[in-house]
Amino acid sequence: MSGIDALAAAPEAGIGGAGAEAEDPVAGLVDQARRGSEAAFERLYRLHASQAYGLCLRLTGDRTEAEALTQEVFVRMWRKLDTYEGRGPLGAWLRSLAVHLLIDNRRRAARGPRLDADDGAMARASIPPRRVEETLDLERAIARLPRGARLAFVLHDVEGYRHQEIAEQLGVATGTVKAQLHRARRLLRAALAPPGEVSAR
Amino acid sequence: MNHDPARDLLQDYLDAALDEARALDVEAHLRECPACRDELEALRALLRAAAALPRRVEPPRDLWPEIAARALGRASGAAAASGAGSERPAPPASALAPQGPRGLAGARRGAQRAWSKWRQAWGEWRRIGAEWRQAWRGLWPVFAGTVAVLVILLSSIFRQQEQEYLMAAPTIADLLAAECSEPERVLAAYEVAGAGARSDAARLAGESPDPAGTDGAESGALSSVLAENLAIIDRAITDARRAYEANPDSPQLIRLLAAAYRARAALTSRAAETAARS
Repeated sequence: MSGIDALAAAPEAGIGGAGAEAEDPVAGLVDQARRGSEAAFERLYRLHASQAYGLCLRLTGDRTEAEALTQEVFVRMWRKLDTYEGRGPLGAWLRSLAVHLLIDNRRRAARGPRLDADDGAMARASIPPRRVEETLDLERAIARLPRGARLAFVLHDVEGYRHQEIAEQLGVATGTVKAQLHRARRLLRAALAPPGEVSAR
Repeated sequence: MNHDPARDLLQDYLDAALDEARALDVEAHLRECPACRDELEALRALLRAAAALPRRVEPPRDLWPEIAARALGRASGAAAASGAGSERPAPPASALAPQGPRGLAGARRGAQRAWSKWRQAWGEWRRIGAEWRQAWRGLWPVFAGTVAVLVILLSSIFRQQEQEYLMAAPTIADLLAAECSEPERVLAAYEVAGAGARSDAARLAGESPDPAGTDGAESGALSSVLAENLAIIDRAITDARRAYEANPDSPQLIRLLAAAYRARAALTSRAAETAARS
C-alpha cells in the first residue's frame, strides 16, 4: 500500500496532471462511478485514456502491450474505485495501478520485472548508435531500453518520481533503482549520440 | 578528483545526490575537464528532453468497448453500440448510496470486487512475508540470541516456580496428617510393617523350606539377593529417618522417608508372592 500512497502523494505530474479545471468534475465523476454510473466511468476513461496510454506505452515499449495494459488499468480502476480515497489526483492513482499491473503481469509471465537482473536485455539494448541516430528519436530509444532500466528512467526522468518512491513501487532497493537509472541514461546517451561521438560508458 | 571517478559521479551530481564535499570535488574536476563538461551537458539535455516528452498519447484505437465488456460484463459489440453511457440499474455493492435490488451483473461485480479484495489482501500478505524473510536474514542472530536469553530466563523462573510448587504441594506428611493427625504414628506403623516383612524375608532367605522340591540353590540365590536389597533399603531408611528427625520440618525428607518405606514394603510383598508361588 505504501507504494500507492507514495504515488498518490507524488507531485502532480504526467497523467496526474488532470488540470485544475478538471479537478472537481473528476471528483464528481468518481463519485458517480462509485455509485455505479457507467456513463461516469466512460467519461473518466475518456478524460484519462491518452495519459494512461502514454504512460503504458513508455513503460512497455510496445503498442500492443500498452493497449492491453491500458485496458487493464481501467478495468482495475472500475473494480477498485472503493479503495481510491481521493487523496491524490486520480491520474496518479491510475499511474500506480499501471505500474502494479505491469509488474504483476510480468511476474505472472515468469519473466518478472527483474529490475535487478542482468537478463541479457543489456546486450540487446546496446543500440547501435548510428542506426538509432538515423532513425529513432528519444521515444524509440526508451522503448528499446532493457526492461528494468526503462522502468527506472520513465518513472524517474519522465514521470518525476523519486528514487525511494520507485523502489517502493517496484519492491527493490533504492540502490538498484539508481543503478538502473544510470544505466538507462548511459544507454540513451549512447543511442542518441551523434555518429562521431562514441560513448564508452 | 580524477577523470574516471568524477565521470562516474556525474549522474549523482545531476540528481543532487552527492554530499557537499563530493559535489565540490566534481565541480572542481568539471572546471578543468572539457570532456566531463560535455558529458554533463549531454546528460542535462537528455533529462530536459525526457521531461518534455508529451504525457498524452492517444491510443491508436478506441479501447473503451473492450474495457466496458470486461468491466461491466457487456458483450463487446453491444458495448460499442450502447457506449453513449447508460446509467447502470444497480449500484455497486460497496456504494454508500441506498441499495436497490441488484441484478445478476451487480452480484457478479460484487463477487469480482470481493475476489479482487481477497487477492489484494493475499498479495499484501505475501509482500509482508517477503519483507519478513528479507529482514529475518539479517536479524536471525539477534533473534537466536534473544530466544536463548528468554529460554534461560524462563527456565530459571520455571525452576523457581517448581521449587515453590514442591514446597506448597501436599507432602506425604500432609497427606498422612489428613488421614491421621499424627504422622509419627503412621511412620511408626510403616516401621512395624517393614520389620514384619523383613523378618518374613529373612525367614525366606535363611530357611528356604522349598516345600515343592524345586531347585534349592536357585531359591537360595534369590533369597540372598532379596536380603541384600532389604539391607540397602534399611540403611537408606535409617539415614532418612535420622535426617528427618534432625529436620522434621523438611517436606522433602519426609517424602524421602516415606518413599523408602514404600520401597521396602513393595520389595517384601514381592518376595512373599515369589515365595508363595515357589
